[in-house]
Amino acid sequence: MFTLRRWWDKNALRLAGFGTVIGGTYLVLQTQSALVDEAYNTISQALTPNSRQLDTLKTAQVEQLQNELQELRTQNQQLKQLASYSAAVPTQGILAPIVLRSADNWWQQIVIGRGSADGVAIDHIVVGTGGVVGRVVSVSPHTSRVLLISDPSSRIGVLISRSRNMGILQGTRANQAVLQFFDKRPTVKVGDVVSTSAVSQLFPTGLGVGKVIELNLNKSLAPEAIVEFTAPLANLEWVTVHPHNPNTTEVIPVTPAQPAAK
Amino acid sequence: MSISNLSPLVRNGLHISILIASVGLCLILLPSRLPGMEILGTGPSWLVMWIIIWSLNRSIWHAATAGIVLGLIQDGMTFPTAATLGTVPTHVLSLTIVGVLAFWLHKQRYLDNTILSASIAAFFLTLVSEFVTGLQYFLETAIQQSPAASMDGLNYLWTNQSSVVLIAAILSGFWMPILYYPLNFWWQKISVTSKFG
Repeated sequence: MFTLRRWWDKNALRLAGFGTVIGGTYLVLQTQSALVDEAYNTISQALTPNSRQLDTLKTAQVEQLQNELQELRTQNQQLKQLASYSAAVPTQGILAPIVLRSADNWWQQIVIGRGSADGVAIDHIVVGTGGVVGRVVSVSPHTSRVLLISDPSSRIGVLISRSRNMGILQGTRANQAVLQFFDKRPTVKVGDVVSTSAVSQLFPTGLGVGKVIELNLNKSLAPEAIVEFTAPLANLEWVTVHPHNPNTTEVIPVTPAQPAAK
Repeated sequence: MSISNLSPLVRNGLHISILIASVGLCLILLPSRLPGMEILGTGPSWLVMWIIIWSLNRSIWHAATAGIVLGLIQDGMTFPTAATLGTVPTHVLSLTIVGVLAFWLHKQRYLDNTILSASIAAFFLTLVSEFVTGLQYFLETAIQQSPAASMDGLNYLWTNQSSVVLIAAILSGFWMPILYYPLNFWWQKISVTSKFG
């Protein structure tokens, strides 16, 4: 009895530690190391878009579809007056992940994970969920740098879808941009859809860009409007790259109409 | 393993490779926005931090050269098209001023070899570098377009960029220790055993 008591005094702590370790390992075995998987999941959750970002992307997608619908309606009305018309077939585009952001706080750029080896070249158009995002300015074998439309050096020819008033859109490093109209008295109101126009050589016509949120029609130089981009530039994860050649104006093949010889 | 036991060739090779590796790490971290290292899409100014640590215990020419070299590299990472020397706005100006100011602060004993002074210096010198870049944009618009256009642009600059600049400065001061401890330790060690500056 006495020896047992002495053994216990000596080894109780050691036994408790050993038991805890064995018990813990048995628990891990029973749950099939769910703890490790959960820890990894928690860590990788930080690297995946959260639900708020997904909501923003979904809302932006709905807005983009509505903008395109608006543009198509207006185009359709005009086309009904033409004899016959066949538009160029839009290409599928290369899907690219956004890998890096800008290397300083002034240039608005992103780096995407597709390069010349995947068929991306300079001046290709980059479109994200919600609308136009920018154009490719530099290409390496496996990455490309995209200049966003929010950069002040990005000046896009745009028009108001409803009234077809044209202007130049210039970024302000934020999610809003300044649209300067060509006309002295443009027909525009808050909520109007803005899309690229035929004046823009860097971007093809008809791509949704944003919505008017504020009007400053009494500016001295030219009437201005503040446009908010429909694409959430800060929250994007994936974009598509479409080939575009800015040297030619977009030639849309028109099949000659049969003269209405009635 | 003591540094003085190594041959000069190995020592110099180690010095150069750590130099290149630390600059490379800063360059890779610069456009990344790792979660936890960014606030509202803005990250720290790693090159400003690196130059501050480099300018401790070195001559003014070392500091200025580092500013010029890193400014050119950052220009290469940000300009949309391959540009010639002298394109404004450039990071060469801002980073060289940061290097010279860090050297001057060190000479004036404001920036001593403590982590707190290094972090505070990182905060203020990031503000300085962003201010110099903003000034270049302002002057470029004033000269190329008109003073009125530059005042217009200043309005947007102030509303959009002031918060970005402040966030970058705070993050730079916050993340300074991660660069300061290893780099300063290594460079002090190698300066003791050799006169490799």
